[in-house]
Amino acid sequence: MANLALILVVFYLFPVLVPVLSSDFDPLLDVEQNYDRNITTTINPKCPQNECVNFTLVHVQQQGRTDVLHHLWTMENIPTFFYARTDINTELIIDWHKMLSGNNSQSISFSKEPQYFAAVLVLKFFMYDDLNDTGIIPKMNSYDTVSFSTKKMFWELKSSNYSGNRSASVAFRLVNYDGVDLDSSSNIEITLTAYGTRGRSPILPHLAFTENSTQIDFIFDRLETKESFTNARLAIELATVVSEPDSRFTLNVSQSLDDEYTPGVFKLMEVHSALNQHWIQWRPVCYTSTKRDIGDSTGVYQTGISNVTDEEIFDNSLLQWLSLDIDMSSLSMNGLNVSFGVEGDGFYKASNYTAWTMVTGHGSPIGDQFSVMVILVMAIGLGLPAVVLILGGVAIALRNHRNNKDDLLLSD
Amino acid sequence: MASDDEIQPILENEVPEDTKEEISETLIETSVPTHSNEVGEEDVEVMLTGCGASPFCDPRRMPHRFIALFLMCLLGFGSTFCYDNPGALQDNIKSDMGINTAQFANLYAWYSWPNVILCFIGGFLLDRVFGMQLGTIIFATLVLLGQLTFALGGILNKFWLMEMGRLIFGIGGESLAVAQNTYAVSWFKGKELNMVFGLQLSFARLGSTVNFNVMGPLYKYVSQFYSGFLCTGVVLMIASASCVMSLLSGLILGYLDKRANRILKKSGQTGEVIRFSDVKDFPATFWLMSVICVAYYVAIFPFIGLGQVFFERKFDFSPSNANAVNSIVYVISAVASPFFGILVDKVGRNILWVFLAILFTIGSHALLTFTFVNPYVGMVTMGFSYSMLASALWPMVALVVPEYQLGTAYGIMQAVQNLGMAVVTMMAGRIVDDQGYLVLEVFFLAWLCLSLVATVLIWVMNASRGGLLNMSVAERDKHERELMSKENLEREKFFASGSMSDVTPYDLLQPRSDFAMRNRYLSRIGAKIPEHLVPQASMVYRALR
Repeated sequence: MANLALILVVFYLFPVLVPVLSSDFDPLLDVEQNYDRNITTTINPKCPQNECVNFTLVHVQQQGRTDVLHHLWTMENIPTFFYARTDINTELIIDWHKMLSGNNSQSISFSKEPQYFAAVLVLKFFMYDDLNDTGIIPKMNSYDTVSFSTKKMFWELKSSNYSGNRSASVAFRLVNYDGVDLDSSSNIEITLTAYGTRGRSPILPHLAFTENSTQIDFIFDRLETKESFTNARLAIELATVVSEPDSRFTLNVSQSLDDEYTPGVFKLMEVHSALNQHWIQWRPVCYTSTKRDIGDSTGVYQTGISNVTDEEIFDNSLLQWLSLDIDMSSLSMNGLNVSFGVEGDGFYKASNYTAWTMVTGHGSPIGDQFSVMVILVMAIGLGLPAVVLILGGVAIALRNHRNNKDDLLLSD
Repeated sequence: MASDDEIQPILENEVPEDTKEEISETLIETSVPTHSNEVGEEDVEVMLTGCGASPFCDPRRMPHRFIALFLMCLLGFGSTFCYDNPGALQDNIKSDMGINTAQFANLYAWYSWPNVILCFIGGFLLDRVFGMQLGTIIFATLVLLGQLTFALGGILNKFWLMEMGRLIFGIGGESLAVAQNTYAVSWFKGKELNMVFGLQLSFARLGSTVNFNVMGPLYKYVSQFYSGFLCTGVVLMIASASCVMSLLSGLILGYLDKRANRILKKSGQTGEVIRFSDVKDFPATFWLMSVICVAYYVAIFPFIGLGQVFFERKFDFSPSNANAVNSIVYVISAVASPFFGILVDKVGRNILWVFLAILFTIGSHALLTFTFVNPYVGMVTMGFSYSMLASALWPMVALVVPEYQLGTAYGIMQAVQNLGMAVVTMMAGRIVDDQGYLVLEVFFLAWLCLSLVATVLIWVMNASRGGLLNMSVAERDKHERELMSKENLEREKFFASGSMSDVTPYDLLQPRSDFAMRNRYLSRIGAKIPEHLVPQASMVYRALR
């Protein structure tokens, strides 16, 4: 009977325990130690004093046990987020004189040729007039679209944050477009974060990161939309390039049952290279307030992947600065557009704020899995009643059996 | 309206209460015959002229009663229609008012909270302080005021004012349901009462269903003229017309009732008086039923409250489709509940039906949670399971609690249910914001499992005490007849003695039923027990439906 009472108490409390359990257990710290890399971050490494005043190149070195990942992030020219996987003890060499002289072609090299490299570039920002409230970007160069080439943008380093050798984060803020300063109340920010471990980002949409990945977060805050656009929405054009011979990319949309990390979002978008060495992941959600939550969110749409043929992109990006054995121009570039907002959300003006996050990385990404907390709750929630049901059944069966026996004894 | 199903118990508990009332009245009649209703109707012939002579105006004729019935249905329509306004406009309200899901869910919590207590005192006020006619008008006015305040909060973009509105609305709403039942009992007692209750329940569901299907398009239409919080406010203001309609029917009904009382010379008093001292005698099975009641209902209504966005997000449904699938539970229960009621009446075995209902609800929640199967499958299953549970659970209380305590019993059950709803609704909003719908569904599944465990415990406990709850109707009748003959024996004993002389201290220590106590008293004063009170003719332990 005491056992029964205990089971009862557990059960009566059980639904109350669910939120308690879930708040105590932090699924974001699901760290697997074996993968860890040591991170060292340098801005403008070995740049002679006072010469890199108007130049920002971030070098994040992720030292693993068998290899090293060199990240190079820059907002000069076209914003480019590059990484190369090299042998251990491979040095990054930058010819600063050449780099700052204007003719910066082939000014960056590695002491040993990288095994693999890839880059993600932010090519353009768009503003389009969504006349029929569909959320779909109209055909490029149409009357309803204004594009802003990132090449003409000047960014400043807003903040940088290195917590030990576990993670590195830098934020850039747009200062000037095509010679015109950005309105002081407006703000466009791009934040890059690399981690030395596996886990999930502490901010929504809590994307999973690996020790080989970079999280890129975009914020478009209080932008002035074109006056003639009544239904203005924003979009960006991204491109990616890899050192694989076959540069075909695939876009996968995976449905997930599990929205515990990104409440209300059951899909995960994933672009990966032909050899599955390079990937980009995002959730079809963007947040419409600084306090990101399910209520302040709307969807995103993406176009299919297509070839980017514009040769100027290579010439105007970090890719051209690299001195590598492989001929950069032989690599083909793939791009896609991501637009923010879906039908019925009131367009950009409804919130004047859009925050969207993606993760790009090397190797295999982390898929969606039930967290330990959810598995635990399911096991208790569905397992214990089963036990009680069986016990109850046995109790009834036993009593019936005993009663029958009594009857027999009486009739004997 | 979450309380639609709660209406049922009130409704049902008033049937027996009234039968009781009738009994006592008739008892008084026997000693003072001129005060009887029936006698009044037969003997005092009121000559009606003009409209009063036609069947539609004569309160003694059926057509007139059906006009009143229609008004009674309208009386509850406003509050059931407006109760789920936030649910139908969830996304719009959230984006227009700039609130998160947890804050949004508060709109429902503000409705539930006051009714944690008001279930006890609403009916009491109605019976003892206001009276039925005035009480109804007061509660209908509160409902209207609440909805107007709610809408005003939207127009002025003041969310706290909206919450205030829901509070006032809640105070009026639940008590108005009690008033509605009181009217039904008063007008249809001994006539078409069961049909009336069924119709009122369906009408309440109808109000809720119409809300879910009308508010979305209405918002879309109004958004052509207004935008943002103003649009929300205007739409809610338009919805308040339904409350005006309810108040008007309350006024007309009050007039008709007054007129009927005058013509029929009856005292419009019905209703129940809850005695708190009864509570301590309730059996453990009753408390387990209350656990089922809480644990099951919190997995249905708070889920429906948050369901729309879930269907949009997980199953890529358009807002209007999501709304439709979300309200399917209401649609089904409006249609299926009476049929399941008949089924349970015919078959008996309530606990088995409850068990199956919970099992299927777990299945439907699991289907929605762990698969991408079209949500209509899960929601239709849930709709039928819910109707089944509502039909089988509430009458079961009448099998373990004596009839004269049923008011208190249902009051407790409803109050506890409201408490559960209020708490869980708040928790659910927070869980969705922080941990998403998967965890929310697991949370609901856990509640359902709890109610399943409670069901099994009732089954086990009941089996050890004769198994009344799981008897078929034939077995139950037999069981009741045996009980009756025992009572009969006791009564005859008092008849034989006609005094207290044979009452032993042992007898005094035995718990007495209401029935036994009254008869003992009547025996002592020498009154004759009327023929129709012979127990075999009217069973005390009958199922409520």
